Amino acid sequence: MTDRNLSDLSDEELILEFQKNNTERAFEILVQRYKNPLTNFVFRYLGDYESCTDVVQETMIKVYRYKDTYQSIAKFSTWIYTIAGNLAKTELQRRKRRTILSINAFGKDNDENYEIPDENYRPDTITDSGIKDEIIQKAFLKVSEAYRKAVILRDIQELSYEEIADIMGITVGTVKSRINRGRAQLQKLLKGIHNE
Amino acid sequence: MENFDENSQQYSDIIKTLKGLQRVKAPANFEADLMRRINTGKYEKEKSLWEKFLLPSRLIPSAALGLAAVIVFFVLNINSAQLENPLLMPPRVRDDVVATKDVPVIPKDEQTSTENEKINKEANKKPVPFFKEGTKTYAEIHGTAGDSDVSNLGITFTGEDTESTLPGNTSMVSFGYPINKSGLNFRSNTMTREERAQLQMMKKKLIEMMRQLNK
Repeated sequence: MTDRNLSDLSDEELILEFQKNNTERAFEILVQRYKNPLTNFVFRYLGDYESCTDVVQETMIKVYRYKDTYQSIAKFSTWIYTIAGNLAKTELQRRKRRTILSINAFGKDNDENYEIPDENYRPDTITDSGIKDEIIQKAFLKVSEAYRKAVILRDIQELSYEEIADIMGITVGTVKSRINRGRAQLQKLLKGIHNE
Repeated sequence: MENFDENSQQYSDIIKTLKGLQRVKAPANFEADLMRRINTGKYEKEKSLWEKFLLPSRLIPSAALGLAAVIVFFVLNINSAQLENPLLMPPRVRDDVVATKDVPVIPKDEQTSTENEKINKEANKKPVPFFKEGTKTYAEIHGTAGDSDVSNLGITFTGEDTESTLPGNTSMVSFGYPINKSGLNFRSNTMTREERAQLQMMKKKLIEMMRQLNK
């Protein structure tokens, strides 16, 4: 199969091609298609670009290694988002375990968080609306994990409720409820921005 | 569903804000890094179930728990007087040994046979002959042929082991010297002469009673 033919195939057809004939080019096309959406999703969920890149790479490696576990019943996007979501969750838990003695305890006031300046490349700091993005991202991280995931998948990734339900392994009703609760929490946290 | 649409309008500002967020992109060298990791196999290998189970963080607490359980069990067991320690119990001894004909016969050793014969003589005073096909009287088996009272009892024994619960034709196991059931019956050996005389008397009385009843 030529490159052009492969590019025309759907995600499901590409993964089947990779499964049956071990066509690496099919996998590369899938990586090209999903690297940016997944990076965006994981970054909003974790709030750290370096960890986010690692998680997305791990996701792709899992797809490569466990390609045979994919069943054509499910959508490929649902499958890959589920893997990425699970890995991101694991990363969050690992981070929580590491920071038993939190750096926040050394802040000026108990209520305010003291952030160590990070000089690394951050996509949200190189744009004009960088400050606003940073505030929103910080607010996002304060929203509870389950609600945050649902809101990101719906309002940022623009996935359907059914897809989100499949990814999170919950009913559509629960998805809607979580999205609303997440939005409510965000609205509370971002009151100042909207008033401006 | 209506409630949900209302909520969507209620949160329209936040939805707009989130949709307007800057899209984060993967780094330029993402694919190259990924393929390098795949090809070199440097990515973290999945641990098997056994490897996960044998992690020190899981193995040590479970081993400690198991050890504690064993110690507690033994401590409680030693204190209980009702239960007998199986390690200190004497082994069970079988009364008789009966086996099928398929059991290989141990060849006679002259020395052992003479020694065993001596032991047998001491135990029974007279060597006990093997059962043979046909019938034998009680007196012939027990060497009381001279005793007219006993020899006239009319009790006979067949060559087959009629008491055996094993199916098929059975025989005695040869250990180089003649052994039969009566020879292994240690109770009879422990009877005193007086007891034997009493037994004989009782038998006689019984036979007389039977004869009288028949008449």
